Amino acid sequence: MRGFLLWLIVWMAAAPLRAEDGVVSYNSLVSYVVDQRVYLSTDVSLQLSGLARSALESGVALEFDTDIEVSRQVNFWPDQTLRRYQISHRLSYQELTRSYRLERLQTGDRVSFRNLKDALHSMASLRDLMLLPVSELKGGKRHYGRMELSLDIDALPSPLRTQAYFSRAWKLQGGEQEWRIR
Amino acid sequence: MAYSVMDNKTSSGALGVVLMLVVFVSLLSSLYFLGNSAESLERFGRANDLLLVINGLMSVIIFVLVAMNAVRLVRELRQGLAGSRLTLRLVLMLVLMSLLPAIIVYTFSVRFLRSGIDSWFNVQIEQSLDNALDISRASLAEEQREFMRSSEKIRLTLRTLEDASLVPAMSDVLSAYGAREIILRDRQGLVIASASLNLYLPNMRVDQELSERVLDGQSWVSVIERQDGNLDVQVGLAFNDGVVERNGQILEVIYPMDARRQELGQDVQDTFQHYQQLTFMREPLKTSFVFTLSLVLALSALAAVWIAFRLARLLMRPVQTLAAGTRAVAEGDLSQRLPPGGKDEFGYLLNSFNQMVRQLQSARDRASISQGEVEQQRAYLQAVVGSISTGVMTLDQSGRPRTINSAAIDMLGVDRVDVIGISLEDARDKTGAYAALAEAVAPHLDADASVWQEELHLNGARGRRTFVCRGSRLGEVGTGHVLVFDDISPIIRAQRDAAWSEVARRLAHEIKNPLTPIQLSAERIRHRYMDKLGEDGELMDRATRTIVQQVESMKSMVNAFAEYANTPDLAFAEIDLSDLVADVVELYRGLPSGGRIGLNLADNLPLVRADSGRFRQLLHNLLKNALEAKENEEEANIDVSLQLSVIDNESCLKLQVRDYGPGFPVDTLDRVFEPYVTSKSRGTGLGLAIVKQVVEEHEGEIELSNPADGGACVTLYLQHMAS
Repeated sequence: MRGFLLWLIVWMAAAPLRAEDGVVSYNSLVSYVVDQRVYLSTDVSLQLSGLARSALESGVALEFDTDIEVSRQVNFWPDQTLRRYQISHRLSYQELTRSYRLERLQTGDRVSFRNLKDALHSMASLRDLMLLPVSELKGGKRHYGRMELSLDIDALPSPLRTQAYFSRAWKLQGGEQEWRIR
Repeated sequence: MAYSVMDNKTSSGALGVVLMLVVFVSLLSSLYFLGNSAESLERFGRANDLLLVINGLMSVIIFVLVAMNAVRLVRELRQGLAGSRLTLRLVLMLVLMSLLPAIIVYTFSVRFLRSGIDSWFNVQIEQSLDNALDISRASLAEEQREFMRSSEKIRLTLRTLEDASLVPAMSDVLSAYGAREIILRDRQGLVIASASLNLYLPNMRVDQELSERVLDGQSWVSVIERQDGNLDVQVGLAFNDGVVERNGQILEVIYPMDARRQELGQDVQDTFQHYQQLTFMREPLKTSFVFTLSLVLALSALAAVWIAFRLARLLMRPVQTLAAGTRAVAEGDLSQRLPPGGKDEFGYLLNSFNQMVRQLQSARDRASISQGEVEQQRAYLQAVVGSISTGVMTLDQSGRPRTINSAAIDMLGVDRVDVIGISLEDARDKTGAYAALAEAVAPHLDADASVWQEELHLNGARGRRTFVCRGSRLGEVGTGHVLVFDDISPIIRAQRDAAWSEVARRLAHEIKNPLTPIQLSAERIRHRYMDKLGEDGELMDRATRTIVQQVESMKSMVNAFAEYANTPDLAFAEIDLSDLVADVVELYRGLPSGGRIGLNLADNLPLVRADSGRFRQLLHNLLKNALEAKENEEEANIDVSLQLSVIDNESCLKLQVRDYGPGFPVDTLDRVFEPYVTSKSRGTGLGLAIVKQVVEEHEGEIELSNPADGGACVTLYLQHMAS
């Protein structure tokens, strides 16, 4: 009993050291105005940890959330959130066709990719996402956006979930990024 | 008080039972879910979170309860509360009893779980799934090859056609070869012409990889997934051998995959991936199962500890109640009643305790009443003993006085504190009546006689007195003695006085009568024969004169005795004693042998009811005695005082006559009031006897003493009129 508990503690404590981290790299993140609307386009690279990649190739579907917030800075008070978006994807590996299926959960759209890199890039990058009308931006105030890409641990199968709470292999480093909206 | 505590404990006990039921149900549910979920990954996934939350929550609650109980027990142990050590032992025993089997079951459960999960995996199954997947892939590849051949035929059909004829031809071959879509693209991938079974426009840009590979001379075949989830086969071919206009153009043909083949392939893929997923999660699954089971064990252990605390307290409650009751009874609180117990042995014990306390209380009440009665009797006896004129002393077995009544204290002239607890042996070394009594009594205490009596003559500050002392042992041998003594000096004195009065009366009667004829006869003889005798007449004259003188003297003596023996009729009147004393003293001051007589009379003294004649005689006797007491001095030295005094809380007049002569002989001090008792060569010895007689006639008291600085002192205490 004591031996098992000791093993459990050591196993959990050593979890961060066992696997390489998942990394998010924001190559570009641009907001622009077209027709009095603010749009966002991003070029983001995503690399999964070895453990997450193994899980994916073993048939475990991974869900990712892209959270985007547009906020206005308020002096001496918490900032005001103007818009909040969440885009969720499910990424799965199709053994039969040796392809990666990317499904956008809000719309149900599916796309297949022959390699993981393209699938992750397609999932992480945004193109022409309308954030808000320009009229909602107040002059003289600082507005900024925040984007966070994360792996949804709660969507993992239960046995992995418990382990994922304690392991960095299931976390994405550098997943959060802020930019200023001018 | 005990009942209210029980009420509180009952309510908390009900809460504890409810909590215990919740824990029990939670444990059973957890084990049920764990048992069921072990059959499949999906079930485990659904139940695991619930199990973790419920067991975690219950563990925290039970842990807090256990901690509270442990802290309480430690506090009770430090305070040394009754039953706390037994509670600790019970808790440890119960915990040990419950944990040992739980740990054994847990160990085997973990082993079974791990082996159970391992049994899900099998090399043959894995190989079979691999083979099935390979077959599916081969089937898919075969279909792709067929589509490739069809696409080649389409390419050959289209390669020589003019642009205008392309679209109708493409529509024809579309249905002929079962294609879904045919697209002709230029080098940049832009659509030149297309034919499709649906109304949607084709993708305007071709896949770049497809374009590059096809233009490099390679054929392209790929499976793509449609929005509806079905699979298509995409084939790409280049026109390199046709008309010049077609060179470099790309033919893209999309075929729908065979539905049945697709369905079977999808099933194989799902099964394979499910198995792969299980294989990947093999260890985490074991860990999760074991973790959940460990949590259940932890909850079970904590619940066992908590239940052990509850049970121990439940068992110890009657013991603690009994201990509290016993302590209260030991401190004298017999009103304590314990709550009635049940029908078990503890109940019997509690009921017996209550019965015992009731009996004790009843006995104490009876004892209290008896003690009150005894106290009352003792107080009554003490009052009786205290008020009697007989002296009473009790001694313990070692001869130390334990009690002494007021009469004894008065008779012996001692203080109570100088007597109680001080042995007679120590008292013998002192002086006074008490020392003399101790000296006389001590031999009797050591003697065997249980009752003894002795007449004792004790010399004290009040002179020599006679006591009749009786002693007896108290109860059994060794418990002590009681001494009873009476001062019989006044009785003896009264007897002597009565005897002397009788003697005086007889003397007066028997002697006085013949004296007159003797005197008359002597005078007649002298008168008739003195002239006739001549020279012998002178002898006659001397002899008859002597007879007459002696007869006169005898008459005086007889008169004095007669006077002492007579009881005259007293004429009482309210007189001022100061004036009387001053008058009499003044008479003696005028005498040649009067000497110095000091007179000290207090002012405004109250009147006295007295016979002035008898009192004048009293004063004469006292002053004559004092004057005659001068020894070798030329003149007498006398002090006479009259003051107001208090005796036994009553006001009285104190008349004191003091001389500075030799004082009263100590050996006759107790007898100086008797007739004929005198230390002087002359006198009848009746002076003080008459003084005493007069004092008694006036219901006064007289004391004689020899002051320490010499001389003799006579003190009279007389009642006075109310002022």
